[in-house]
Amino acid sequence: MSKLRWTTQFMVLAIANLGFIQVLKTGIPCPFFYCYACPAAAFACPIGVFQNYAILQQVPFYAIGVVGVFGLALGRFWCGWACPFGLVQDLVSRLRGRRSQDLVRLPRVAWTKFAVLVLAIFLAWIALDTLFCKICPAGSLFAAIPQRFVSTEFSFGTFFYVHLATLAVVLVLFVLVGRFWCRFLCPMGAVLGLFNPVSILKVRVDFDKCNHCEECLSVCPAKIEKLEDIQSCTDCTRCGRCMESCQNDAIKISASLKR
Amino acid sequence: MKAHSLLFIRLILLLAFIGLVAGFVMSQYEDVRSMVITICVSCIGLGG
Repeated sequence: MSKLRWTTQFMVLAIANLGFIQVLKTGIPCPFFYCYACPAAAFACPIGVFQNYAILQQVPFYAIGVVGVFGLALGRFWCGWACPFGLVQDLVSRLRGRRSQDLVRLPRVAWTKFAVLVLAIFLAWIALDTLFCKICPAGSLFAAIPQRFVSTEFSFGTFFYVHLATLAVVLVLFVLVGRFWCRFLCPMGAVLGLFNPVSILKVRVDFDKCNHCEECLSVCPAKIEKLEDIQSCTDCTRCGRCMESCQNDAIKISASLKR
Repeated sequence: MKAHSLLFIRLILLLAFIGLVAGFVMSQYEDVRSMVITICVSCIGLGG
């Protein structure tokens, strides 16, 4: 499953960059965290869209609808299997070598990413500017740095260096704490996390088979603390490591309209 | 959550979101596309 997840993540990264062909630059908000200021971006970043509509003092009904459909279908599966910024975090985590445990162990805190989401939209509405974009580390990596190489006529502004600083900080944090951005700061993860309890695709635990060894919790990158929370908590990215670790085959990722 | 209530919630949400997309795609799709095409250079700290 691990190989399949890597393959999917790289494939989505390639698809997200199909915008190098101009006609493939679409107005579809993507269900993952990828900057639409990237020279080759094919989709719109929903957080960027929400901020722009906040500046216009309008409601982004179309973007809410698209993200809602994506979220309702798969929840945070997008974070674990598709997000290019999640892929970056997974790649950086490999610098720890064979150590799967975080170098710094932090408890699960669910509310911080929701605070980032609310703050990003509120600040755009108040300041009439996309302030979150100006410090976004995904924007640094996928847009600011590549754009500078593609278009050399641009000069460096203050926020270019702010971008580099935020990127450097989060890269260090990714080495220390696995999926730090997803766990604590990602506003897109907050949006998709709201759908985890009702999404059609879910991680389902068969408690008749479970012997409560809690091996699944010990390998969980989202640091979920209770077996009951696996199925519906806002932090689960459906990465499937719990499923792989379960000796009793009690955990499945499956789709169902009724359950 | 009981199976039938979860099914009901999912169907209501799905209809609501599809309704939003269908209702606003004509008026907002091009706005969103223009955000992808017109790169916000100030957002990423680059200047002209």
